[in-house]
Amino acid sequence: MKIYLILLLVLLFAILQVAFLPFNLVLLLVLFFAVLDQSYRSLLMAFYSGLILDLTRGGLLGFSPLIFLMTVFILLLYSARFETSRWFFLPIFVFLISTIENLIRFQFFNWKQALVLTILAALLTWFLKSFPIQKSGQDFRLKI
Amino acid sequence: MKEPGIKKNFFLFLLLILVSVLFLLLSRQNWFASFLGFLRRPLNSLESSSLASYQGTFGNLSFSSDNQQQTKIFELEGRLRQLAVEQNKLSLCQDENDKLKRLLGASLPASWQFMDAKVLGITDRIKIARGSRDGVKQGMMVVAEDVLVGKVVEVDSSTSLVQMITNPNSKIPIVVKRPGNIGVQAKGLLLGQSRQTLILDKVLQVESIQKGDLVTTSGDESWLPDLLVGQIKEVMPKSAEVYQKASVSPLINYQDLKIVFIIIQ
Repeated sequence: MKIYLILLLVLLFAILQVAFLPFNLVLLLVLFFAVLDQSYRSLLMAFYSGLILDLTRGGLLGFSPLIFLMTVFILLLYSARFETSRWFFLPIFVFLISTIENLIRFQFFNWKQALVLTILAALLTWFLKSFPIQKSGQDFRLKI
Repeated sequence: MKEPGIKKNFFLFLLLILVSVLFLLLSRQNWFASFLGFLRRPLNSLESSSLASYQGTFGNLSFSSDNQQQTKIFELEGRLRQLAVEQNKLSLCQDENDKLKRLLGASLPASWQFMDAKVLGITDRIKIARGSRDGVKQGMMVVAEDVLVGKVVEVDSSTSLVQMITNPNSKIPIVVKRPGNIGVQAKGLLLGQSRQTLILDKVLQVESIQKGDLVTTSGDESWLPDLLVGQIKEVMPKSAEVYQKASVSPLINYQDLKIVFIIIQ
């Protein structure tokens, strides 16, 4: 999948998220991408996704890119020493980051939102295990 | 990922962090407010139509189960809300009358003006289609059907974000009024809990509150006075604590909001 297609998906998620969905799906997508592609592209993806989210959300521009960049960088650092493709990694990481993001942004512990995102992350991980993704150059292809 | 990869990524990371901080500082100073307003316009209409489809779809889903019953419930809820608003107005009029009798010649507060705003999104906060160019400022109150919805917390050129009264960070000084009675039953603090529940706290044990009492703003801490907030759903059993608590239900369903009104004093 090309990166601009993923950014279109980010835009769609951001619109839904601002309109009525109370979960940070963009964060989930950014982390999922970072687990798949542990290169500079995930940092760029985090930056662009944050900008798109701030544009749709309204208010200050630059807050979401900061959060996403730091999150992805931590993930990249972690992946240099540990195996991030383990089934439990993404759900736990998503739970922690979602909780921290809510604490920073809204100053309260929104465990329900974090839990829903964790379940979604677990489903995504299961999907990834069932249909592994093949990376060829700039593209990702599902092995179905 | 190998160590050299980390070093290479670290410089990119630093650069992007710097750009983000720069964006943050510039947008705090409203440097590219008009440009952002221009970019956000198509996004706002997309958000508005997604919310409308969501409200339409879920409205239709709930109506399809038992159409007539649902319509009746909807009508009754509307009437109940209207009744609560009228009761609040009535007790306010009685209060004002009493005060006027005592303080002849005292000036009445200036009448409030309202500005309508289309709801673009409802999640942790409500996004509305009015911004600084319409005269919206941080801290302004937002109402719907004469019931308090929340307070404007972030403003940009064409949109604003409203923090709902149900937000866990929300703390509103309130007074409790009994329908049909003159004066105030109790004073307290209303705390946000979740989308459909509020907790009334810091009410002295000697003060009398009961199910059905109306909760309105007291006018302290930059909140406008006498705005209807909710109705007491249940008074929690008295404990050995100094204060008593009650659960309060907001009188509006946030998911159904389409238009709200900003109070401009």
